[in-house]
Amino acid sequence: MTERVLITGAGGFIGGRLVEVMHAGRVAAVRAAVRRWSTAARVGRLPVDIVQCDIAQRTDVDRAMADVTSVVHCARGSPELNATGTRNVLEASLAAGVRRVVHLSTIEVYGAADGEVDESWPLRATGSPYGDSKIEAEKLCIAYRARGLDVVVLRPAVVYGPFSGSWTIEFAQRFRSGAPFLPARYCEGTCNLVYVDDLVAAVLLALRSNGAAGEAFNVNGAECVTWNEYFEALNTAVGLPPLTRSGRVTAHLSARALLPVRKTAKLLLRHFEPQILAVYRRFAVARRFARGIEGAIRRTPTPEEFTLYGRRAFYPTTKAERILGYRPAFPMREGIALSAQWLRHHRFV
Amino acid sequence: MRTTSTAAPTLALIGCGAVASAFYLPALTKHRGWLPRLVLVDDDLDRARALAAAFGVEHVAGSHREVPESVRGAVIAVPNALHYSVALDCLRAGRHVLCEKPLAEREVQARAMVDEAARAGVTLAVNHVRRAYPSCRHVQSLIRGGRLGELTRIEVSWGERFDWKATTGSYFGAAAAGRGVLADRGAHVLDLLCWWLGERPELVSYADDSLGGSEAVARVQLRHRACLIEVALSWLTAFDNIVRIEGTEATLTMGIYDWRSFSVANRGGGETETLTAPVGPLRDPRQLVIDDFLEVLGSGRPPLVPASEVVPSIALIEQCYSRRQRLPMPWFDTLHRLPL
Repeated sequence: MTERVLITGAGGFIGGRLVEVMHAGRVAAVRAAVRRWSTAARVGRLPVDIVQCDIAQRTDVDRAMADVTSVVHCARGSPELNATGTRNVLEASLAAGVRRVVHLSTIEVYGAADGEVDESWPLRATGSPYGDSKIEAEKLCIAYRARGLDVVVLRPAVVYGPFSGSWTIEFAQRFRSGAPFLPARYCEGTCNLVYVDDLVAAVLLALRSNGAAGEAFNVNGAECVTWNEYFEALNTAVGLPPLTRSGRVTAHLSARALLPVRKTAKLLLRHFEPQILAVYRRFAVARRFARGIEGAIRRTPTPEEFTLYGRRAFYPTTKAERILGYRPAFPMREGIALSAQWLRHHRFV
Repeated sequence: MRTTSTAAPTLALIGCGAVASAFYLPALTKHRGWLPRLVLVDDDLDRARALAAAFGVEHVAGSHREVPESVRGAVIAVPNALHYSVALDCLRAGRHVLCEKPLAEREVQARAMVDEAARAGVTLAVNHVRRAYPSCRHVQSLIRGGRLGELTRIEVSWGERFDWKATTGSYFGAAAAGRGVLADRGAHVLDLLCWWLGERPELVSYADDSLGGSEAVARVQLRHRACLIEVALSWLTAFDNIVRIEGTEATLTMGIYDWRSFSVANRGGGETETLTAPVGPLRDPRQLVIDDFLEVLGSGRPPLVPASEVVPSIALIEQCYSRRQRLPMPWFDTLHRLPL
């Protein structure tokens, strides 16, 4: 293997799977960059080169870039990190003369668009910290492309599968709690599900496609399903009784009522995580209290979810199919079945 | 060695990683008299100096071979793969040793360490902090006293995301030599089982998710007489974190982090009894380990956990790895479907 690929964000859901596939599939020698060693347990199962790399630190990025031929930039975080970190990765890639950078963006860069949203749609800031910072990161990619760096941008839709916190684990836990879920009428929007291995396939193709340089591609699954269809299928696959649904007023009230709790918990965890963990481990009463709060937060939808599950936007992959040769291989039924096996293996259900 | 003090150091803390800063040094600061006599040792001298400054320690050294002869005791907190060689050096130099768990990677190493300590006439203790938990000590007395009857089944689950603020990558890659959660959390669990049962249970099967590196999920099946034992460990996700011991007379249930209490339900029915282990003033068990070692240095009495007692669990861990099978992971085995 002459190819050596640096994967940033290797401690995360998508970066972790990329490391697995690239190493086990003998695609390339992999350097897995993790922000902290505490996130390395998944990729640590493979005999790959793991480096600690805070992409906000240019010296870390330069060190990680040594002898690298290509880069897949999956790392994400705060808006500042998404901007500064991406700049550091692109600058270091240019300086190191890497052959290609694949940057993982998101369909959120299209804002609240509806209908069939292809790559010709303008990028729209909405005030969402994540989506807006990814727009800034894409602008950086264009700027570095002008300076001679070969960059390909992928815009994945709703990526689910093993290790997916937002779209797999959290839903499974919420369903398992037995708490009434959102009324079905709020979940008739398009889900845009893409199984993680399909995204990995798109990355592999983007790394080697001749016509991809400087282009951006939607990455979505093959089926156009609703959120309701996804929720029901996942719930069934993990062997739970049929979903119960809350009333419209109750759903709205509980979402609003829990907002201050959600914000306070986030704030406390950000500033006092070690102390909270120490108390959690030492006192049973603290564990019961924390689990109660965590359960309530997990079971209750946020106001943003009402909007998300109702949107009727679809992100076609015609361009990726034409230029990259992308063909999603995992229909929802199969992706969910694999996810359910994984959830059981890890005792989430 | 660099020093600014006239007091000759008598205790060395070897390894200045996360366990040193999170556990040993805070515990040692409770013994003000020891800090001037402490030397911090790490091949990353900057790290040693930073910790020395943070905790008010005056002596630092770049290698355990550089510490002065006045050092009588050594706390070994280096990566697991180095426990054997560093401890052996210290024992040969006539120093009492408190070693982080796991004591060694192989049974033959552990036995050599025990033998060397005996030859040198010094103590070799191991930091198996759970043996200091009053709850765990009480569980042992209940099992051995027959309160639960004949044991029929034991289940231990311990899963929590790996959140150790490691300062190096020694848990992964070549440094870890393919030893992950079993050598980490499993070292505690298998040691407790051997200690509670009074002997090493027989290995039935062992499987983990290693793909050539450090396993993050492990399942161990053991048997002790008529008792089947199931151990599930994870670095990736949270489990129930429960110890459940079923006997012909009663079933005991204890949280993995509950260091004071557990519940016992009699087999014939009736109320579940919550037992609180007898304990003096509320003391962090981790503090007890360092307190114990300092007392050993002063009095020469046997330590809380002598190395000779942990050899069976070291042998069991080694046996697990030698019979390692891969857990079924169909979500991993989809590579043939991808454009490699």
